[in-house]
Amino acid sequence: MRRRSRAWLAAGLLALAGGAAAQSNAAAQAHVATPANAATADQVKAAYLYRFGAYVEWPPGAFAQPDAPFVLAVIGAERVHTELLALAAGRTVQGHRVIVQHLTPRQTPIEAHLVFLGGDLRDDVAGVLTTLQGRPVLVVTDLIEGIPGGAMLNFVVTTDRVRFEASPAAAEKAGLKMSSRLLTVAVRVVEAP
Amino acid sequence: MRNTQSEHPTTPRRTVRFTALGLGLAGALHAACAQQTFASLADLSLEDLSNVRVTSVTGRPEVAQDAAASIFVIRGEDIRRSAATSLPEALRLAPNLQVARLNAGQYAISARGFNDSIGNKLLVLIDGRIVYSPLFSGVFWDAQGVMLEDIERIEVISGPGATLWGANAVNGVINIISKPAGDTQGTLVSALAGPDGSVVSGRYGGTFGGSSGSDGRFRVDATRRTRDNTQLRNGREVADAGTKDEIGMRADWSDGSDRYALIGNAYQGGRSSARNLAPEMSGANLQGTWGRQLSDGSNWSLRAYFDQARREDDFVYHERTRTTSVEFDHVPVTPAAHKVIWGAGYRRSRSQTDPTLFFHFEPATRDLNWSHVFLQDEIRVSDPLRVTLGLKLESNSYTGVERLPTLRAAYRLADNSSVWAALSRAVRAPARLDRDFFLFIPGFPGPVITGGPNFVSEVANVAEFGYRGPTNATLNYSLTAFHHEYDKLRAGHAAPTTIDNLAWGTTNGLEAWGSWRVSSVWQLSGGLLALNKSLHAAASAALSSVANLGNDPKSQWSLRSTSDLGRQVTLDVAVRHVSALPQPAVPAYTATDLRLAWQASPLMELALIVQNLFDPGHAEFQAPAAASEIPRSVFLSMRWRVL
Repeated sequence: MRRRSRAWLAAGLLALAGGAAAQSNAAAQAHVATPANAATADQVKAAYLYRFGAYVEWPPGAFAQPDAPFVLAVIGAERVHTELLALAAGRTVQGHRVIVQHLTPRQTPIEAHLVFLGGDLRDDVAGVLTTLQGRPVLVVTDLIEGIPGGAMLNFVVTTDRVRFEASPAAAEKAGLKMSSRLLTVAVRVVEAP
Repeated sequence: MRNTQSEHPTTPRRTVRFTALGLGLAGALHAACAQQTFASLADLSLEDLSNVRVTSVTGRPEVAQDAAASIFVIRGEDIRRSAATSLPEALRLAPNLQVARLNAGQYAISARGFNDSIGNKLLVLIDGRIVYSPLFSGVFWDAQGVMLEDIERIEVISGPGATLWGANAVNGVINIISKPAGDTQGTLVSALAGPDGSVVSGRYGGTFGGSSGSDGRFRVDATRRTRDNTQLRNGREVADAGTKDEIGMRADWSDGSDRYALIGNAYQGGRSSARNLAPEMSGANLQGTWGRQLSDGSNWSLRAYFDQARREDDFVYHERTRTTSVEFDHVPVTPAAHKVIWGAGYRRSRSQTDPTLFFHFEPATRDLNWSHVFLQDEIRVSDPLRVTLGLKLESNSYTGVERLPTLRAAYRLADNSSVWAALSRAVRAPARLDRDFFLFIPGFPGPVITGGPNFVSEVANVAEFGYRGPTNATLNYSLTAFHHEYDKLRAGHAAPTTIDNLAWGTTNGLEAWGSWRVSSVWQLSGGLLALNKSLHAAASAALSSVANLGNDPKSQWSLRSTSDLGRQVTLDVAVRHVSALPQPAVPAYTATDLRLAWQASPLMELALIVQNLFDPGHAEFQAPAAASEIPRSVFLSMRWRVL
């Protein structure tokens, strides 16, 4: 009898846990199916670049008008650019239509909200970061030196996954605010360089 | 390292897999058509993206959800959210394992029965390193320390895995895989403590060699575990308290298509050699792997390790084992319909023992050698039908060469579900406890049990049949039926016992598990095991022969609820029921574990862990009057990522 009542208690607890979860469900985002397809690291990086926009707050002045586009600029990293073009077509970030630009290191991505510097640009990073200093631009790199050099997010490719590290302090300097969710997923959260 | 595969996007080995985040079954899902990828990748959350698998480094194929075997994958995230405080407790997450706790630090763990504190039909690997003791072909679970936060996943294969993994993988394989150093960057402090014990860990991960372009990442970590005494049912203390210190390191780096990893661990623990339940122990191991992924899609890996373990127990095992191992795996370029892997390896152990009150080994020191070659080919006969043929030849010092073949077939049905069937032969090769062993009992003149010079490998011929439901984001399930025919099982002649192969028999059973994602924040998963053993011993065998082959429940079920209560709070509840054990008789029990966690800030998580919530205590494996009661335990836990 004692054992049975324990089982009921356990069942009740399970139901309680589920009920509470269902309650909080309303606030949560819609569930997304996990696709069973193949992907390359560049495709995953492109998907991250698009998704990052939802987890960062830009200052009010970052968009000239309410219907101004969200500009994603890719410098170098040709393949990531191609993937991003395909992936972001027709999509929006925080209600803003997405525009994807492909630039060379010599072009200044002044209009951009997010700039991705490809891993093949080791020598150009410093220059681009200096140009962007103080502007509300989320700078994402693909370089071990990225975060120490001033980037806000940096991709880390481990054995079989693409992860990222984050520097909320660098974002704050540019007037951007990273959400706690973004920092929770980050493989590493770094203090100001 | 980065983008290595993007440079060769057309090679067939670039098959990439996604991990199904949030699904209890989480395994790798196979790619069918790459065209849809773009659209659906953009819909993934950050968490899902961080779990997308993009390449695999070793030649050894990763266990996939569509493999023709009974495989359950415990993900690191599942462990992190569970009430587990140690590796054996984390193994309770696998519905295809039997995990019984004996006392403060010792466990009996098996799959498909034959569970015993000297359980010997399960192969356990940590990052490819075999951790069973050559003394008894089983695992000293109290000596295996892994920082739980470092575990990437644990692949639990029930049933024979002998062809890929080798002898001893008779009833199952537990493959513990730690995170690469790049996934453990920064500083983490993790501490949990309660009246029954504590675990305190610290980890630091950093980078090296950035300017030379080799992208090195490393981590170092240290853990201290303490366990208080357990108690018998009558309240008497059992002297099994102990402290254990563990340190670990890992470095990963790459150079073009070559990847390297260096993994090391050391530990020291126990209380005193006069305490059989918390003996003094220490050990260290160092492993290097070198893998190369070539642009033609082929790859190979070379792994070498050195492992030393010492256990000082004045009653049973007083020993020191030093093992050296080298192995090579290669996935060559093959026609598209074939996926071939072959490999070879050599392992050598020196086992040095000292006589104890009960156990003597003769010779006291013995060198043991194992070598193997294997070849496996997965053939895509038609689009839905895949057939896998494999053969391993493994030699050991006692019985020479053993043949370990397997034949598997998987058929994908129209609704994307699949059926599979497998026939395998596996052996459990003799260990020192079978051949070189003498058991003395004070008061008796000679040895009561003597190792048998004629003891040969125990053999299992196994048929399995499985069904895996269609893979989708909401509901996943898997069913496996198995039939094992055993011959030459370990059983000795009647007193004075000489160990021999005097038992045989069959086991039949079912393994079922599934998960249901009720909503984006709530998931239920459950598992069910049923086992029917029919074992026999020769008339001349000792009376306890069949009972000595394991004390197993006829059934076991588990149910787990994983829920997010708002953005910062998670609640996980796990209930498991184990039916009665026959000999010694142990009553059925139901245990409920709970973990309530609060993400106080992005960097800090606080949690309350309760094990055995509704139960003041129960025995899990030994006769209740003499067994440690596994008590209700409460822990407070903190995980803090330091900026």
